[in-house]
Amino acid sequence: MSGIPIVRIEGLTKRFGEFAAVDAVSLEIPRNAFFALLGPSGCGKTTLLRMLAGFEQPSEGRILIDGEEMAGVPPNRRPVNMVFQSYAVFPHMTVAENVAYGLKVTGVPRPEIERRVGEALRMVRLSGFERRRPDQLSGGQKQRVALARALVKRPKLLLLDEPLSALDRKLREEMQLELVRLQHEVGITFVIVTHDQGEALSMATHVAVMNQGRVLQISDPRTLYEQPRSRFVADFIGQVNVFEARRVAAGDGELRLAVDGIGELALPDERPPEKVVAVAVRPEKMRVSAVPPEEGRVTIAGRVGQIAYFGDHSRVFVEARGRRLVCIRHNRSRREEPSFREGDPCYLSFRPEDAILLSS
Amino acid sequence: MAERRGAPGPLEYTRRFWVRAWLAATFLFLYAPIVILVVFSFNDSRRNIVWRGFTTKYYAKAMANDSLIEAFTNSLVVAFLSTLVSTVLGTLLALALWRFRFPGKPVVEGANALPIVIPEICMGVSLLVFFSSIGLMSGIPWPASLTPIVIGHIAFSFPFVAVVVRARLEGFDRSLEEASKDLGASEWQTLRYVMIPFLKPGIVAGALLAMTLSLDDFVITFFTSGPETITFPIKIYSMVRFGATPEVNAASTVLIAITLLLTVIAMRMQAPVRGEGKE
Ligand SMILES: Nc1ncnc2c1ncn2[C@@H]1O[C@H](COP(=O)(O)OP(=O)(O)OP(=O)(O)O)[C@@H](O)[C@H]1O
Ligand SMILES: [Mg+2]
Repeated sequence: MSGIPIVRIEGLTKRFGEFAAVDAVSLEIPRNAFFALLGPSGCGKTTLLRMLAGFEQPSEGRILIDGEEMAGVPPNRRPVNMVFQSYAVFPHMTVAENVAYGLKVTGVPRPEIERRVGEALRMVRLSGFERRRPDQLSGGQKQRVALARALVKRPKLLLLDEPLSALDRKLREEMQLELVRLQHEVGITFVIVTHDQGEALSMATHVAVMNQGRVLQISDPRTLYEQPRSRFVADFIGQVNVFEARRVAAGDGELRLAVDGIGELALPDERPPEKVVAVAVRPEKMRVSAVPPEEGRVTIAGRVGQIAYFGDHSRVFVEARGRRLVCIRHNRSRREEPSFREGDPCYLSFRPEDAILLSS
Repeated sequence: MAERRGAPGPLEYTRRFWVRAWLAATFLFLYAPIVILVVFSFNDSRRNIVWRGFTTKYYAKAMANDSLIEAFTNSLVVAFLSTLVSTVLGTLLALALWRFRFPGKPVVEGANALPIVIPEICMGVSLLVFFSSIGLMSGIPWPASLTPIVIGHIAFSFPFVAVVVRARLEGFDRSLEEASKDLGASEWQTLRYVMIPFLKPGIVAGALLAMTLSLDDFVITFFTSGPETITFPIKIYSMVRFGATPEVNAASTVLIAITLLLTVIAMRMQAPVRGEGKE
């Protein structure tokens, strides 16, 4: 294993006419990563993936896979395989024939094909389904055939375009775990496209958030959630309360901000970004109480607006200074009575170090 | 049967009397002539008007008629060759029109439909003029003497194949093609292992159409056949001019049997790919 990243993308742009579907994207995907591309519909995720697979030619920029320039290399010569959103399982072939296809066309000898097909089917837990036709399979099983068919080729990179979006929720959660297990087992770099943030956070080692053809942030899931850099990312991943803010002073390990709706706020100055335009706080970092909280917490007084019950947690919406803030309460006990009702005065508070600084 | 009692359901049209009568009339209209043709091929009568008893002697007679057999052979050879070539050409044309964008594509598409709409007589005349002017019409020994007919048949039947195959292509899921390439298949392997199996019903239907068109074509063949090359329809026509004998019936019955057989084979090959249409 060498130190070069498995994928290196430099200034990649794809234009359809005037419109840039992918706009000057540069990124690196480390070896053995489970890399998720996350973003709203139409932000260019599929286009980026298709350029990696070789189905679209970049308008500008270049792609290196394992250090090799991919310009001019057709899809069938790239060390990359793709799992299509529609599965694209060949309807006229059996499961075994589907999986064997990629080996057959590249001239792998028969005995080896048989061995590898058996292995791949075992890996996706489809042993015993060899003779079945795709119309005798469920959606999840077709999905596995598509996976086995790609994995059996032992690509350097496996691309998955919203592989789970056609499955129902339970099956989807099962397949999420399955994919993570598979990725550990085969040690192939996975690049998965999704617009489900939960899916990205729970499966990936790296998440890239895209919007309008640009990559806004690439981080591990935890950093992405706890330290989003821009308002878009903070808002796209989970819920967030955003307060406009201005830098007042910095120094002595402390950063002083003027925050709309809160007043002056002193934060521990860990690694302050160059520019601060807003402060964000996640709802589960907020606490709502009927009495003023203890010292050391940033407090906002308000009124309980609405309580939405979700079973394991409730969302409490608080009206404070003409704004609507949200806070999550975990329902930790069956007997817990809601201590306040709609319209009651209350205090929202959070620890200063839980505030996220947004620079754009 | 028990389930036949009660008022007819919404889709049980065939249980209404007048619908059945209509169906019966249609079938009669369509098939009575053919049935009569077949039945009278076994009629023991020269004049072929009244039933005089069963015989197969006209089959024997037809078999012994050398020029009839020759015409029959010619027809089969021409049909075979023109079907083969027009199926390949038509399929390729359909693929090209589906796959590529190129300058002048609408023109090609329009030109493709021309042989379908041009009156056969015009095509016949133009082919005759063309072949005579390049000296392909006379003085060539047997199999080669069929060349003008074969070319003429290909010219008018391959657009039909293209139309049928093109219709089938419209339902093709492009990601299957991409999946194939993604898995390492070349353009050619993708065509062979993924596209052709999918297109097979269309190709078979197109081939069947091309063959039927060729087997019974009269007008274009009439113009493009030389003095010594005669095909089955033309031979039959010349025989009928001296009165429809059971011999003609017998020969026609054989042709019907062959066509039926081929249709059955084609329909079996056309059975849709299993699993298709779902998802
Ligand atoms: N072949 C094409 N021609 C023109 N525009 C295209 C083409 N393919 C994609 N686009 C445009 O590029 C943009 C990005 O498309 P893309 O399919 O990459 O989005 P996506 O992020 O995958 O969205 P989704 O989550 O809905 O799948 C869209 O606005 C789309 O309309
Ligand atoms: Mg997409």
